[in-house]
Amino acid sequence: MREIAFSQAIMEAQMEEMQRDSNVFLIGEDVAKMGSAFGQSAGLYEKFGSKRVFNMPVAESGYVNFGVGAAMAGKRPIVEMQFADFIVLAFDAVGNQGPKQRYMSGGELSVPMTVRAPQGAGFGAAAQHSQCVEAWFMNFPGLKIVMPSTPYDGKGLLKTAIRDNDTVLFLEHKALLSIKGEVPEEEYTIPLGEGKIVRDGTDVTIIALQAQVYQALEAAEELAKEGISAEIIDPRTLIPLDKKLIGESVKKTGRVVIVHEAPKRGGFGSEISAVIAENFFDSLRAPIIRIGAANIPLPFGMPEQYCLPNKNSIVQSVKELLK
Amino acid sequence: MNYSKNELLGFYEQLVQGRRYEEKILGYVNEGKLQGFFHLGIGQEAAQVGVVNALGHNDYLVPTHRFHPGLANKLDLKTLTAELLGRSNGYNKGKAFTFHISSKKERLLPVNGMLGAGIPEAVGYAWALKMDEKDAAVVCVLGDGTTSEGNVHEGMNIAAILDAPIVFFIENNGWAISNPVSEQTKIEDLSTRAIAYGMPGVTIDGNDVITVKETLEKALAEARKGRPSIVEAKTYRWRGHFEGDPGFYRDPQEHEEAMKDDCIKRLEKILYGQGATDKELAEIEVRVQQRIDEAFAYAEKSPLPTVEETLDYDQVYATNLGGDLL
Ligand SMILES: Cc1ncc(C[n+]2csc(CCOP(=O)(O)OP(=O)(O)O)c2C)c(N)n1
Repeated sequence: MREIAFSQAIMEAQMEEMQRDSNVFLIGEDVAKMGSAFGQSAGLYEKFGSKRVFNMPVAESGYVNFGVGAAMAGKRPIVEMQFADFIVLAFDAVGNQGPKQRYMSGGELSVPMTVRAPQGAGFGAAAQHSQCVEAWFMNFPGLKIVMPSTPYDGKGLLKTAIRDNDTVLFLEHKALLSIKGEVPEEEYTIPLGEGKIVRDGTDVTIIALQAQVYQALEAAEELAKEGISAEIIDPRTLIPLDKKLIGESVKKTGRVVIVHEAPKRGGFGSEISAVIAENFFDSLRAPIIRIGAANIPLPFGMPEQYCLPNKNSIVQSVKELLK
Repeated sequence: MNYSKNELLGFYEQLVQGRRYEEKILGYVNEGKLQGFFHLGIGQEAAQVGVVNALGHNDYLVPTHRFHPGLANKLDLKTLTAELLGRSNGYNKGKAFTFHISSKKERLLPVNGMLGAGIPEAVGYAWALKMDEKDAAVVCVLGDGTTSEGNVHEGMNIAAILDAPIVFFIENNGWAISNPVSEQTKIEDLSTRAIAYGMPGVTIDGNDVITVKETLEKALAEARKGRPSIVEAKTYRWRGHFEGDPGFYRDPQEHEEAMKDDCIKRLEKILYGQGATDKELAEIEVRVQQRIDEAFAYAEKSPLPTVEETLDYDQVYATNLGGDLL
């Protein structure tokens, strides 16, 4: 199968959906001729023209709300944040406006908008261009959150997100945008709410998000050398969450490590951990371990790595569980 | 005067309907019969009725939390009142109240609880109308206080950049809760902000229903051609910010003085000049009161939402993926 970069997978998903439905359009900062900061929209402006792909001024709240309004009118906006960190300036639009409008209107006005936001560390870009932001949005009724780790998942899930009739926050990881992966030429979609077993195992379940999936894979290799069999699960979408898949794995292994790049406190791991404790407590043979970033505004440059979870912290946690 | 006596009587009836509707609400509030916060627009009827009458058949309106007098003339009075009383046969099944009310059928876009957020939303809607080649525009109403929101700046600028078919109607009632306009900004007329966006802006007498209507009609005609603008209508808030606000922050003398400019009295004077009789005006009062009483009686008899209707996830999610979404 051919291999393409994550950023190209994002571009293709947008291109295919724009071809499929003339109501789909793309806005954001530098999405037009520049094709987005990380190339996620390369060529779309040339292909679809300035009525379907156009730049917005530096006004995050304004243009996400613009998307909300256009969506109420029957359009299907894809709104790009240049960096996910900037989404705080559009917090109201992403959390209070888009997701709540349908209910507030008694089911009459939906907001089928996809907000795409590149997040995460890896560039040493310091505290305001590096955070994983998913946990900020866990508490808005009406919102859906997608967080893929591979080009294949990214493309299939983004297509579904654009077709979904609700507001979807689609978080793409900056450090993964340049990685390559198998993506078929033929069209496909992936439903929201289906997690994925990345690696089969029997001794411990590692639930990992985005870049941490790759750290978990390396950790699992190392653990295998010592005879420890780790299962890795990538939930792929946080809302809806595939609780069933997680439950089946927990029943099998009885031990859980949850790892994500966002700070540990109040992170998505807390939610998964609570879901497991509530529903699968009897299957647990050890306490759940959560791993996340240190409670530090990510520093500039090289020292960034000292704050983030990695293969070693995962290996260490698993060993602790198996002690 | 470009209007016949009968046309003027028509406006008069609407102004009266706006005021009596809110007086009815006031009565309910005072009896403790209503839930929620009530922001009444008594004194501002001319500004709102002027807007409602300027709208073309295909145009859309974004009202504010203080727009009952306008809504009482634009919407079906019974369905509006059912929504006001939180009934499941209201415009939004009782979920919106007049805080968030909207209606596709009536071309009414949602009132926003987050001041300012509705401005770029209205621009997005207007842009979509233009893309779909509809011969239509949006009137987006906002208060003076709301003009300080960043969203308003961002939204107006985006409207200008995209030549969106929209008119921003600033209903300047002098106050944002307890904060007078003079303490919100250094400028005299809020419409001068239009210069910053490269669009026209005009300030008018908001207590003159005809001026409001005609100014807005012109602005809408331009907007439909892709030329957005700002119209600021100066008026005055008679009541407290919400019912229950004693308003002790206002100077009583200034308050009394401002209320002397009553938009209904003004039109009455013109009408008498045109030969209208006391009997004609009294008949209007009776008609209006009857309509309002009927609407409230209807709403009171209407059902409140059930538990099932309240926890209906199909109303939260259009693509309801079930179980784990919740
Ligand atoms: C974002 C936001 N900030 C504050 C409020 C609280 N609030 C409600 S109405 C209001 C005053 C608004 O003044 P103005 O826009 O002039 O409208 P008016 O109430 O005078 O009609 C305030 C501060 C709010 N609803 N939303």
